Amino acid sequence: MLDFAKKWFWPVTLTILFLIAGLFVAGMPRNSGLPILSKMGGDFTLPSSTGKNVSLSQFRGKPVLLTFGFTSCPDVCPGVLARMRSAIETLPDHGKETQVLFVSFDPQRDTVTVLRDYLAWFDPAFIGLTGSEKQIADVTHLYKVVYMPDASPAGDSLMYTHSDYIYLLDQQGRVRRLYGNDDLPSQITQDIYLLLQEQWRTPGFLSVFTGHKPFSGHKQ
Amino acid sequence: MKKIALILTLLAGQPIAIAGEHSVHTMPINTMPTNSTPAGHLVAKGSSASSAVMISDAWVRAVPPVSRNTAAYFSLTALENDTLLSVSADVADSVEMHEMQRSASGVSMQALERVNLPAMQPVHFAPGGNHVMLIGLKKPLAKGDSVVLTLKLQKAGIMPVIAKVQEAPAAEKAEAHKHH
Repeated sequence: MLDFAKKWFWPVTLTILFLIAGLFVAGMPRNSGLPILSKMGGDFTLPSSTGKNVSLSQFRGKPVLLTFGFTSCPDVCPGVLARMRSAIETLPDHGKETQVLFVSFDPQRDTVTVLRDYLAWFDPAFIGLTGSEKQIADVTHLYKVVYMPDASPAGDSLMYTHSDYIYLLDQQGRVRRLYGNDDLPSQITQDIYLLLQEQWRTPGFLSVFTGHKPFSGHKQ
Repeated sequence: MKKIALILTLLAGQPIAIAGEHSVHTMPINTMPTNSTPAGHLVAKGSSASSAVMISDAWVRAVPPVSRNTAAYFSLTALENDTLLSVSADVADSVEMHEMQRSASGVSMQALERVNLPAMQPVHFAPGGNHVMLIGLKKPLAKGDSVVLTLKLQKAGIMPVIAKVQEAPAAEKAEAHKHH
């Protein structure tokens, strides 16, 4: 009996260690290839559509899609929001791990209540933020956002000239990519998927214990 | 959609015909062309107004009920040089044609007095480009609603267009569906 144990101790131990190592390799982060755009970005805290102040840093661990606009915007901003929703709902987890933030630079009309009603139509999980002119100026400065009221209103509606980028922030809140109006939602989906690969993941069969739904591959 | 536009064109009183063997029958006798037209070309000959415009892909962007502004889009192809003078709609307090201008500082909109429609060249009103702004919606528009836009053209005259309220242009929707 002792001989038997002696003979098999190392092969069995090594096999088990090898399997455990395999699990680590399978769950290891992979580089998304998306550069870190360090010239812009940073944490901010603003009153939000949730009724409380919200900080970007609250979403550590989640990719964030951030954009700036105003709800009276007829063409650009609703288009941007529709594209963001379309991008995240195509993810294997239907966007549960991704947070969308919409910062309004039109605090006069866009109160947190208006923002809540406006965004809920796109997705109740979207969060709208606004604040005093000074607060908004500080945040837009961090992200190099341009916005200025137009000299002549359309009808009696004040319009803005503004930049319309979508910012992809990673799980640490760093800017990783900007999307213009020519970028398709599927490109954003792909990049978020890659960002999610950058963190430690639970290999598929272990998710039975952790309760996390693993990403089992990108649906094309 | 093209069919609807064609029907609307006819309703708007713009005689339109496919040139060919039978084309003359669809035209008023007094305006029968004296010159022959190559077969297969779509032409329009009217009596006073000798033009027609084809409209396709008309839609209005669905926006949250809390929002009072939205935009309408369509493509126009004039059979002869024409000019779009204005667009009106009952659903909004005012309607303006706008052009989008992109510069280093961002996007801005410029009101357009008129839009030239060169013969046989499609002119697109599309997201991020020219669009028709519906300002001050009288009531919220729901997805699937139909909005009647009335286009005023210099030669082709008044043309009603039915635009469906939807969330995204057809191309984006098709793109999203591929992934499901």
